[in-house]
Amino acid sequence: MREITYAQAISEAIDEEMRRDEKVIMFGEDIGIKGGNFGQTQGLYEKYGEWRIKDTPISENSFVGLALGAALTGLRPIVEIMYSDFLVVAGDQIFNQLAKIRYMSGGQTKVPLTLCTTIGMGRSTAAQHSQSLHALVSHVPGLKVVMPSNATEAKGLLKTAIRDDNPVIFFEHRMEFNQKHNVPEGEILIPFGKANIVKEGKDITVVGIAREVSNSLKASERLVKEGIDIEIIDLRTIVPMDRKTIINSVKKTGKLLIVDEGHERCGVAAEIGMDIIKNVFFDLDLPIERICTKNVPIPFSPILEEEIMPTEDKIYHRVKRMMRRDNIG
Amino acid sequence: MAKYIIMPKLSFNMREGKIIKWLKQEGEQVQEQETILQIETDKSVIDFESQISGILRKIFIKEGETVPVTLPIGIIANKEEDISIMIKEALEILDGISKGEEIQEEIGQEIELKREFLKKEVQSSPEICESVKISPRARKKAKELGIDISLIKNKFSKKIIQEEDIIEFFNKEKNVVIGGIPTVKVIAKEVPYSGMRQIIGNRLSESKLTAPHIYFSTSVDMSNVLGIIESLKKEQEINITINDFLVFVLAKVLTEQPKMNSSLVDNKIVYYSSINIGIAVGLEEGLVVPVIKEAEKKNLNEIAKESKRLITLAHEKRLMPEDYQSGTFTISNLGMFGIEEFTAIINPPESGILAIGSIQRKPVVNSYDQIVIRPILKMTLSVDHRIIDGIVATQFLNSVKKYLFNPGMLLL
Repeated sequence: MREITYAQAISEAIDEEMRRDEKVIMFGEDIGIKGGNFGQTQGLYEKYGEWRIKDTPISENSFVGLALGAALTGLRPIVEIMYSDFLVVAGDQIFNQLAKIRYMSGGQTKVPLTLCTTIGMGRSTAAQHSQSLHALVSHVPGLKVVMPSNATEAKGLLKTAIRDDNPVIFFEHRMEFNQKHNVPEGEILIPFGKANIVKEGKDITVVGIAREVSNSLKASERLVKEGIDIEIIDLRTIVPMDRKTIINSVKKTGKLLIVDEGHERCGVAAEIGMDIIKNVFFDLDLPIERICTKNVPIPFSPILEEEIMPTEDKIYHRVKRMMRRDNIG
Repeated sequence: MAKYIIMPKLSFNMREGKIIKWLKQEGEQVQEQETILQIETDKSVIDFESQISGILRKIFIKEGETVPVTLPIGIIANKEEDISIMIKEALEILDGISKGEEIQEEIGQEIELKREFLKKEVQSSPEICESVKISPRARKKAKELGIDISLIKNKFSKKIIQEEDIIEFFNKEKNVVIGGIPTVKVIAKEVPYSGMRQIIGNRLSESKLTAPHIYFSTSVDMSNVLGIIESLKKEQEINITINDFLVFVLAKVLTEQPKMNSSLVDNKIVYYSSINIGIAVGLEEGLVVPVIKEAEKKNLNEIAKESKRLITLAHEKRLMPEDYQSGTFTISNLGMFGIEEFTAIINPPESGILAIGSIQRKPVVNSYDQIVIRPILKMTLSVDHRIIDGIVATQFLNSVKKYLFNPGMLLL
């Protein structure tokens, strides 16, 4: 099987969808001549030209509004916001317009818009260029929220997003763009709302979001050697959320750890944990635990950055602690 | 990362703790979760576990010394780590305490802040909990397996009981097998231990636990008694039971040997002049003992009538308190149910009880060395050894035997 990077997989998904449907267009900063800030639109400008791959000024609020208008009038735009930190620059367009128009028009209009943006720490890009704000958009009804965990997932989920008639916020992880993965040739479409059990296990359910899936897998390789068999679930989409897969898994293991790079407070882990308590309380054998980013602005210092974010090592130690129960309570 | 070991606040009221023993010395490696010292609180001695792994670099408080809670007692750090600032800081705090200075005033805010900081560290560490916690999953499993979780709580040394503990317990219990077949106790129903059952239980426990019982058994040939009962029935149409006859004999013997007609009450041995003989009657709800009062003044016919009246009332549950109070001796007869012999628990505060078995036809050797078939009754006397010695009991039982073997003696 061929190996391509996450960035190439994204570019491939856009390419295939643009070839398939001439209504697909793309807006964003540096996506044209530069080929994307992270190389995720390499070659598309040369192939489709400036009418379908459109570089924009630094004006998120305007070009998201522009893309929304295009969507309402029948196109299928992909719009790119370089860092999820900048989502809030286009806050009104995203939260009040994009998320609401289909509902407020009584379903008369479709909004087939995909908004791509990036999350993730690890590059020392400090407090304004490092946040993972997927919980923020998940809070607002009317938006689908997608969190691919590797190149194959990114390709399959992005193609589904582009074909969706509702606004989708698609979160790419900055540390993944150069990661290679075996991506199958040909059409991949991964449905929304269906979590993926990437590794079956019996001891603890670990729900990973985006990059934390591969961190969990790495931690698992160490844990297996110590006889600890974790089950890893790739959540894939926050909205819609596949609660059932998590519920069934926790029924089996009785223990749940959620790993998410978003800030801990009011985060997606809290949402999952609450849901599990409500549905599976009597099957729980331990308090639910989570590893998220600490509730502080993200520091520039690489050492401090490492300290506050979820890592493979933290997952490894937390799982071990959960298995050695006398530690808790 | 260097960390203080803090004197933990193990209970709400704990103000200070005493170091009983350091299980690790300075320079030794400690593991997370490893017990490193023992601390005495106002209540008990508690093993203190390290929250981190590292080297026990510094001990501030020696064995036998006492220190207020939340103050540093040692430092765990990596081998090479510089802990000089931490040592200085800790000594300053501890110095303030040992000099008896008012921390708030003299040393000022700085140390207060440090104490706050230290307190926080303690709070974030796992608390030592006094009660055992049971996970919802473990409860569910216990219910599924029919295990009463409250009964097994004490069997676990763990702070949290999880599903696997329940399964382990279940597997252990079911291996207590009869004939190799795993058995599980399945509860059919539960009935409160109260009311009549509880009164009976409490009285019998009191008797057995306070009065040291000794037992004396003997057999007696009942041919003559049965002959008399038979002839009375035939000639006079008077129904006398064996039990009535026994009560009559007991009244006679107790009159002759009043030592058996006594009680130990409030450090006094009380001897009774009236002979009130209780008859144990088994009902479905439990045991009742109606009393034939002043049996020594009654003839056999009167005893039979009174006995019949009381037993009828007992079965109809119409006994009044005066019907079952003030007994001085009791007879318990299971002969009619085919029991050969048994021992009975004394009905407190009485000093003796006679347990009667069934009459069995048995070969015996008579005074002419011939083997003959005789109706044999076995009886066992229980006495309270605090006030009745073996010799008294023996004389008593022999007299009973004498009158039963030769009822003509009753006429003398």
